[in-house]
Amino acid sequence: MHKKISIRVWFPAVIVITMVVMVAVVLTVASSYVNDMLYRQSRADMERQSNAVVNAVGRETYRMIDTINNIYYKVIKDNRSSLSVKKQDFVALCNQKHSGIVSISLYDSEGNLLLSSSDYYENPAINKAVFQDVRDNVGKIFFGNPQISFNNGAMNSVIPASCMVDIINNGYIQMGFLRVEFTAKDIYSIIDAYGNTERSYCYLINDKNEIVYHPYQKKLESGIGTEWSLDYIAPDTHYIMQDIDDISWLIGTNNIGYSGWRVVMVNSFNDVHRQELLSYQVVWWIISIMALLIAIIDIVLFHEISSPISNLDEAMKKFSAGDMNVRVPAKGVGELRHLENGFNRMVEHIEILMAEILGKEKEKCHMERRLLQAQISPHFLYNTLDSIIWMIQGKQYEGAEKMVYLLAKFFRIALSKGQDMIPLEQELQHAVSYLSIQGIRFHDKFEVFIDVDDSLNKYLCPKVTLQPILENAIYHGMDGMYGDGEISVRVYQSGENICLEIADNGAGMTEEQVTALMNNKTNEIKIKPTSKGSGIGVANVNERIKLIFGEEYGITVESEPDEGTTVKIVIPRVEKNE
Amino acid sequence: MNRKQMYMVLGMMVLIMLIACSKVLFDRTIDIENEFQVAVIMPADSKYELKGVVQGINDNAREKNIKINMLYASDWDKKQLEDTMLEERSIGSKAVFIIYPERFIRNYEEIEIRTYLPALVLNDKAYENNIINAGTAYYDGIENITAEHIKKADVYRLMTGEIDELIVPAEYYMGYYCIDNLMEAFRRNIMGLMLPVGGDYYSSRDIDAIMNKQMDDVCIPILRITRKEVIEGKFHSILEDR
Repeated sequence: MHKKISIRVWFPAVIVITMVVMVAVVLTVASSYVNDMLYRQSRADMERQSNAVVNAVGRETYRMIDTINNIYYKVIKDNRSSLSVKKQDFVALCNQKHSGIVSISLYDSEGNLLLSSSDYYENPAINKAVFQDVRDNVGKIFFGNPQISFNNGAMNSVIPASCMVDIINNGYIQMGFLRVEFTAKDIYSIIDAYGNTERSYCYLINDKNEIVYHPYQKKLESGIGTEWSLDYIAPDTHYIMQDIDDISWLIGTNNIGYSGWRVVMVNSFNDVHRQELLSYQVVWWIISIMALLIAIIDIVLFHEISSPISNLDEAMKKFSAGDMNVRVPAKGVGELRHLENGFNRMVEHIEILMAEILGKEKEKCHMERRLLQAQISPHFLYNTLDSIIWMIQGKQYEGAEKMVYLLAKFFRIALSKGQDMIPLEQELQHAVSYLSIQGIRFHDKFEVFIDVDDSLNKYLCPKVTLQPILENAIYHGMDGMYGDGEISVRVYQSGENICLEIADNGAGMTEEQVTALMNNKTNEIKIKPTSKGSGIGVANVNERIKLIFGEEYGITVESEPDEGTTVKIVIPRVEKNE
Repeated sequence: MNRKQMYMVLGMMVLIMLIACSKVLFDRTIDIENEFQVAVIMPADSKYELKGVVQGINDNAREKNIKINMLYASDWDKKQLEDTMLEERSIGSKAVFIIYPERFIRNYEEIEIRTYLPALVLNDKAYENNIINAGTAYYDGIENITAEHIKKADVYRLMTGEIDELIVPAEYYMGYYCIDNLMEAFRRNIMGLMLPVGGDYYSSRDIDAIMNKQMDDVCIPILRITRKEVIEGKFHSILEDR
């Protein structure tokens, strides 16, 4: 079922959703841009640092190569010297300060030691097979992995460099191998100078991806961890970003000329750009918080605006449903408060107007009742006065006197100090006075039977209710009756109501006549008019009762031609204090 | 909810957001303030010998942002050690690592020392009742090891082929993990944790018996170094400490 969504819901919802989408888009784009920028910056930094390390190590290896070339050309190829002389030269070179040379050795083509600057030993570490690569690449210098070397009682880490040479011994030439051991500290110090930390370090590997030197060598050799970045190293110079355990690592590999070594740099992207990432996070937070604040302020402001409008809407609905007491609390600001106050003033004004209209309507009803009463009284008055005149003319003074007395009583009750409602007892006395007067006039043309439940006397009844009915019974019902007419008046309780029943055994009426009687249209049908009654009394009484008590009360007429008529008046039990 | 309450809630939210922002901004400062500080007391005349241990301590401390107060002691008595621990406690040290106290405390075997901080004690051998609460030690697999250090000559013998392999104490490893043990001692408030070092595996040459054990089962971890590995360029940093 389609349900209409209030503007109070969808407008803030649209704004909040728009805000969230916009912030998400901005942050995503910014995040992508910043990450890309930081990556490029990190890579540029790493390239610069890597190049610096590569250049430094390259210079060192070049120096080693230069040293080897000098040894070869100045000592080994010296035609004049014997091997024993050359050994002295080797020792002199090793003893030179800052030469970095630990030992110089010559081997024959089979890999057997010919001479060495060191009195040490024939280093068993030097596997003859290692010269095979040298033999296959004449003219190239091979750098080996670091070795432990003993020289003059000292134990050193050395980096061996080997090449094929022509050995001249007392004028004879033979093929052999030159092996020079350089102190490794010079290379190591270059790597150590990088300022290695756990999250940013560099190390040296050979062409077989074996570690030549690592700043945390001791840690690795002690079995505490391994160098995981070896798995991400490519043979050529390249840089990659790798995510491991929620940390982004930038791994760079850079080849070093001559030696076949490579420098591997490992930087934690998160740590290197921690400050930038922190600033970025702060900006992210600020944007998010600002967006949230704007959304909240927007919702609050919209609530401030929409709430009075919604209240007005609700009040309008209630007002249109007839609730005249509805008022709108004046909580809005500016024009909204004017609207609320205007609505309240309008409702008050309409309420006053409605009260005036109701008052006028009541007044009108009252006037109508008065008018109806006024229509009844003159009939009877001039008919009775007519009878009195007739009796005086007929010298029936006693009867005239009684009639005047009864007429006076009749009018005293009829007036009742201007009250519209009188106790039933008085109404019955009024009816009895009337019947007595008419009885005198018509010389006992009919008999009257009255049966009243005395307990009902206290209840109120619209005055002059029975008299018009009795008048109709006498003038129309008893017409043509000669001493055998009967009129009965019964007053009894019927449920919660009081029933006043007037029956006669007169001429009766047809159904059309009854309808015409009740609708006050006696002129349209043939109800025999008389000169003494208007025939409109029953309808008037009925209208009066309905006006006073409501539509469910009033008069019903049952009549059969030549059988008689029964008029029932039903009124509620209303006591005076009510 | 009336307007006043609504504005109060709004104000509270803004305040919370500002606090959260400040926390993010000053996060680094808080990290520095929370730095853990440890005192390390070692014999002054064993500096070179304990180079590997110290390096392991420093590397682990750097990784875990632990500040190390390194103190070198020589010819101390009981009172000096206890006073030093009290002083360290007053300047913010949370634990103390005492390396070979028998080498710098006079009559070490005859006295009882009270520790005022969670402490880890590294000994040449197992002593009894000289550190209060020493019985709470949780480090198992104590071997009666003699701290016979591998000398340069042993490396020479290895390199010349006289011997095929060397068993050396992994001092870096020990120093590295002693910091972890010390943190554990602090966490569990262990006031005197004895960690006897040494053993007779050098003299007994029962290599297999030692190697069959897990490294953590012996107080001082060992490394088995072969000549081939050295030729390949491995274990140089360990051997250079000799």
